[in-house]
Amino acid sequence: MPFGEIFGKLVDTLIGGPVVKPFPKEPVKVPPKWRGKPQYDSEDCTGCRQCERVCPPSAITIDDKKGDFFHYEIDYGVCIYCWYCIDACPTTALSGDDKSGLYVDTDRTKEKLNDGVPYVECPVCGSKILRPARTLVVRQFKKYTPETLVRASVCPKCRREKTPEEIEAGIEKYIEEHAVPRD
Amino acid sequence: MDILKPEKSLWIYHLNTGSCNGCDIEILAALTPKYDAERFGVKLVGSPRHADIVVATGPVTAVAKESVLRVIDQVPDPKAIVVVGVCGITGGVFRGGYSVAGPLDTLVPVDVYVFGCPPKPEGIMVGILKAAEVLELKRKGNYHKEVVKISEHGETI
Ligand code: SF4
Ligand code: SF4
Ligand code: SF4
Repeated sequence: MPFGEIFGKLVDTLIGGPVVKPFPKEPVKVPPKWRGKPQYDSEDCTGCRQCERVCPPSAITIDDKKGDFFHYEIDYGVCIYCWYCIDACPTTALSGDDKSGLYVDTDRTKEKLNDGVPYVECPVCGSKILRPARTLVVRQFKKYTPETLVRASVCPKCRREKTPEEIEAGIEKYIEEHAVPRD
Repeated sequence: MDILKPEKSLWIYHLNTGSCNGCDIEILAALTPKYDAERFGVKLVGSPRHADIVVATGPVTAVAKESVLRVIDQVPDPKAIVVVGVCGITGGVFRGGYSVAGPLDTLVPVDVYVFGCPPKPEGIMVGILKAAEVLELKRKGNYHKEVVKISEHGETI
């Protein structure tokens, strides 16, 4: 190292102070674009299972055979924090924690995310379908309210086979019967 | 976070059970001047017989399993085991591989888990300090975690 460089470093140290990060006196600062835990918002999940498909270590397990619920689980003890699932998600159901970076525990079984999407009734024929995702409801009706949620929950079979009048009548009847608040 | 002031310096033994080296680099980073775990008295030792805390990385490969158990048996009691990285916790990306005999907590009782692939050096430091807490409790004899297992070599660990 030439003398000038050594001298420069000396001056840096004298002016800038020590290089040791003052952790744990000060909280950790994570770098920009830091990838932390993926978070799940069940309201916005369409159940497309793309996240399960792309996850490299299969940290995401989805079970849609267990009764009336679409079980969604992320095991943070398997997750490698790559955010592939977030890239693959067509809605905003998955988002990442880019603020904190320390996950330490004495019990590994607690580090899991357990959530899911309930099944709802089709207002026209009464068959069970997955609750529509918020993004899709907003795309169709421009807002996300109990009424638009009911209107979006018409099952694909009814959409295919029934006339718009029948569907509208079914939705009106359902809203009356279940006292869904109107917009 | 509370800064723990352990009574004695913590001597750690770094055990690689077949990891990709990502976590090992981060453990070394935690010991470099920038993060400087030596502020807390943490010292890396070269022999398991001198260690208080084992910092283990990797999913325990079939080849490494025997040696890993023997090394952990050599650490004097009471000891604390920290697993760094998700592949040591569950197998992570190596989970279900033909050569994986782990994860470590199916073989020996593990005290602290540090999540991440790899975790931040600060996370490793927090893990080591938590292990120091566990160690203090174990020394006082009032640490209860139902896991007291017998190793393949017939000793209680
Ligand atoms: S961040 Fe990566 S490893 Fe974690 S759940 Fe998403 S795809 Fe899987
Ligand atoms: S979280 Fe996203 S990618 Fe995964 S099933 Fe739901 S909508 Fe699909
Ligand atoms: S947790 Fe990830 S970075 Fe650490 S050793 Fe395993 S595969 Fe490598």
